[in-house]
Amino acid sequence: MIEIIHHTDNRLHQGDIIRDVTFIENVTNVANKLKISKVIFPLVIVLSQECDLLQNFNERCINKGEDKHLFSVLVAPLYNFEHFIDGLHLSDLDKKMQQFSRNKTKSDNRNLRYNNNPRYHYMEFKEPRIVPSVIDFKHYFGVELTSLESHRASNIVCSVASIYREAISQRFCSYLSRIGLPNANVKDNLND
Amino acid sequence: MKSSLREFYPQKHDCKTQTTETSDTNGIKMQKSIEETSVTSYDSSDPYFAIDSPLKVDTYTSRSYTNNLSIKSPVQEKTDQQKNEGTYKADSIDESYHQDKLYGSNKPYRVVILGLIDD
Repeated sequence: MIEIIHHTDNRLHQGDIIRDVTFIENVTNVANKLKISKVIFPLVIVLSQECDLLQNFNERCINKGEDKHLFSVLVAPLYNFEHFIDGLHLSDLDKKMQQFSRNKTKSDNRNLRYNNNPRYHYMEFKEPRIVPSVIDFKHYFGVELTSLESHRASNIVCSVASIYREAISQRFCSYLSRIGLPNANVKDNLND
Repeated sequence: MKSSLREFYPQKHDCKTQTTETSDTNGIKMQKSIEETSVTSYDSSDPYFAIDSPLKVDTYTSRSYTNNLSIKSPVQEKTDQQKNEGTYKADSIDESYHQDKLYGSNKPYRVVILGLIDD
């Protein structure tokens, strides 16, 4: 069960859960027609390091140099577990995703809920108003910092408490830094 | 009036929604709203694009409008139970969270904005 807190200040924090965040897919101008395609994510969690966010905020406040300024903030979407388990969480984007067993004794379901699957982070909140959710680390993206900061003011849901947010950050970093090794069987076949 | 596309230099849009239609596109329900916009002043809240003359904008969204209100969220069920027992406190549950708990209402969706630029 994950604990949540509500920060009293207005700056971005690692672990912030923010609603309705926009991801710009592309902007094209063809034959005098401007086309903007964007995806709205109902819930995202901020993954950028807390120290980076704090240094950025402090430097902008005192207006002394720009060395610690950030261009963007890394976030990842939260999906409703009930949609996720059936692979339907991206159906409004016309994407069919992997299905998992609903049987809690099956290995894929257990691995998911016990966070033994490196790609996902399953969260059940002590706060009953928030549904059980899954973070998909593969779907991380960047959001321009100042726009997310102003968006946060009226769209912050809550913030994941310390130690839980560090655990999420650590798993995200592990997922990003994974190394895929070549299949040894393929190499043996080539030598034959 | 001449216009030009300048990405990342935001300007404020005064939008007036005129009509709304619903149409199917490739099996995905889309809702189309026709808006007329005119730019009045500099606004840093939208850093992604800027249009500096009046133009017609069509907006499409892939958001599903499946209404699953018949499925009660755990929060709603608890609320109903408390109301039946007479123990419900109006300020104990934030009504705004009910939307997040309704299955089918919180999936990512796409919005496509098409604008005709006059040169």
